[in-house]
Amino acid sequence: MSLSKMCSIVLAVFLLTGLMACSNSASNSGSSPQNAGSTGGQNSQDNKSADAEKESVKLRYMVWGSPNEKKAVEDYSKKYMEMNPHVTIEVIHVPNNDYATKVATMVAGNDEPDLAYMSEGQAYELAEQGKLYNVFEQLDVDPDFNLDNYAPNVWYEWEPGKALGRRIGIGAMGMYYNTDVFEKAGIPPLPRNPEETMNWDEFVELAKKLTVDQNGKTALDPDFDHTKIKQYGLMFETWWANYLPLVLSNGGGYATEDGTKFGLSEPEAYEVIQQMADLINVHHVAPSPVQLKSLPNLATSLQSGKAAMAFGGNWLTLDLSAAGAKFGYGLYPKMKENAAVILASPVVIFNSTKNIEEAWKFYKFAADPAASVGIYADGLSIPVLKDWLTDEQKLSQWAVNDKHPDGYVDVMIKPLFDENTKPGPADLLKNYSKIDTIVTPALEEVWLGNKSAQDAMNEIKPRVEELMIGEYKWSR
Amino acid sequence: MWMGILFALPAILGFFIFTLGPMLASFVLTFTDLKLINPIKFIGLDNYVQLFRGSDGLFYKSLSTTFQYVFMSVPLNILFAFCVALLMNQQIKGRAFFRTVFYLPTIVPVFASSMIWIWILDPDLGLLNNVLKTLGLPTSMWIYSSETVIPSLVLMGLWVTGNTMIIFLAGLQGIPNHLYEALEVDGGNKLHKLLYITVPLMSPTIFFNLVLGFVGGFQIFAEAYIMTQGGPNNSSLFIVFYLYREAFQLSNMAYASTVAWFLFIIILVFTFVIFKTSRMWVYYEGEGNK
Repeated sequence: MSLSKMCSIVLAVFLLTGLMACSNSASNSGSSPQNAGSTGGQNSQDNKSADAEKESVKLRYMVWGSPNEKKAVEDYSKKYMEMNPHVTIEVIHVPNNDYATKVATMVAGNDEPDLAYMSEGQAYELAEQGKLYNVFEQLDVDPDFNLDNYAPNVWYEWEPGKALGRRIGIGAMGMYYNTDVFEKAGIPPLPRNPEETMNWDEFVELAKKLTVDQNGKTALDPDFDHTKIKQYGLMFETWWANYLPLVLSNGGGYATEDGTKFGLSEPEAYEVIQQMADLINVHHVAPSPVQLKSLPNLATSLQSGKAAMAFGGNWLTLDLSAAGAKFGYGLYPKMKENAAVILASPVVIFNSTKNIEEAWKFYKFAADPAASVGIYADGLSIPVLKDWLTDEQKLSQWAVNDKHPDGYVDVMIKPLFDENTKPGPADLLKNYSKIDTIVTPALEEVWLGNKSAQDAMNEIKPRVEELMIGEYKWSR
Repeated sequence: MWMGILFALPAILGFFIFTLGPMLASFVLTFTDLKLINPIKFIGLDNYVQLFRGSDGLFYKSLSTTFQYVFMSVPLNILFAFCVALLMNQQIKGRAFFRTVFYLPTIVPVFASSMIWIWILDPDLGLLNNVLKTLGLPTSMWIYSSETVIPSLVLMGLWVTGNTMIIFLAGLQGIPNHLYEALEVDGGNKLHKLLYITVPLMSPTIFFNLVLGFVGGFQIFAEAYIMTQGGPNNSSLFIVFYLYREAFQLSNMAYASTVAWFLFIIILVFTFVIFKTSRMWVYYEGEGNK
């Protein structure tokens, strides 16, 4: 009896302290945003003299990205706050893996940020729900906003005349090569002039010449041992931006007929994919996706000479320059015509923002490399503003420096204005993320040499086409 | 009486608010088209129709991979853990040390152990293939080939059977010694001891581990998420990974809830069947008195 009484007293004490602890922490966490709010208010009060008639404004800006990118965003946000003391910008950095879920839960909880990076699929979905601001409305309001100032293919139109935003920065694909390896083998640099691009046979020949086994024999040698490769002629990842330039170059596409028919099951496309898979499984000049997993990443492999050439995005420049690699750029080989892709995700403004004007001003500011030349000059990204891509003087501020070896402008920038440069399926195809869950695993079998591209693509054609409901049309 | 309920209230409330409530909510959601960011609309049984039609070709694939995994891994795990427990129950030197060693992998976070296994199973540079090569044995693509990915994951799973082993060990220690002595007096050997005393008396423990094994096996997720991303060619697209992808990557919350409920029913049916058949093979000491 007394024992059970004691027990209940002890339990009661636990319960009470537990409750107290809970309520304590609750009140603590409750008070902290208030504190933050009040200090913010004080700051703006201090600055009121300078910024007299403007009311203080707080913008929440949600971004993903590497530590480098995060710092760049914070830097230009700080700069903006210094220029506009009445504005406070809170940068919310969310790791890439959790990003989509975080956005979804914030939207579900009516707690949207004012501005945010967003994946293409999610952005379109939210725009169709009416959650995102149509930035083209500013065309009528803001005399400084002129679409001619922007590079082509950067505005995400979910309906004609309605854009949910611009690309954060531009992404482009090209070839990279290790200049040391090329010099040692006595091979001239990769072509950067669109009139001199290699055809496929020349490219395969070159890749063979650059693939070396442990006995020093190249893939052209009959005694070449493909099980012991020391240096691969070419290395490439297998997601869409790597194969699409070649598919486009052959007159094919990911989707046809306005996004209702599967393009990869057409001969123009699957032949190219087959030829790329043959680089791995027939010519043995490129590592398979499995081997890729055990090799260092693209940049490190290229730098260390494990790979002589690589297909890669402009953002590889950041890692390669940071590591002090000796590298150069070249244009993709061509099947029939030169072609290229443009990629990267949008940055959006939520309709729920209380300060559309302030959000828009910051939105424009963030696009301007003058505010944050760092992410561009370091090699991570390409600006969306046209004069930064064409004006020699402006190019010299970011794209012509020791971090961007010769050829960057020819390979990554100039093709952006070519009419054969197209956005990828992630940008244009409705329902793409769902479609991708079928296409990517099927292609995997092709890269591994288990199936022909023709069979693999035709097999999934009915299932893919069931999901194909059209594409978004971009006017510029 | 009411005092007791009062003290149990935190647990009871916790169950109602954080377990039962969300479960029921998710059941209601299976009749909607919730994607988190749209206004909810009731769409009747459409999610179930979509599920059973399997038009994306992935649902049935995920069912088959999960079943393959469960039927390979659960019996093997139990057999393996049982054998280890038998060994750990012997009077040997350093027994405590061995017990610790066999239990240790269980407390390694699954993320860490998965990373280690990615290295071990690497076809070109991995430890396992290199050992096989040195011994002149054929090598395998392990988790990188659609034929071997599930057996590889099963093999990995054997490494972390410590919990099952501990439960077996506890069961073994509960077997009274006089039974073995009686059998010795009657001239039985070690095999007889195992077959006529250990296994029958352990059957409730085996039963318990079997149920837990099935429940856990159907929910395999982390390995697929960390090591294979469901690949190659969806060969390790386990049902929970499929569910996760629908919910958190494609934000089809309602459809994912439907998948979750379907999984719940599968597990329920399996547990029910095991319970029903248990009368035939599980021996409870107390039962003879009835």
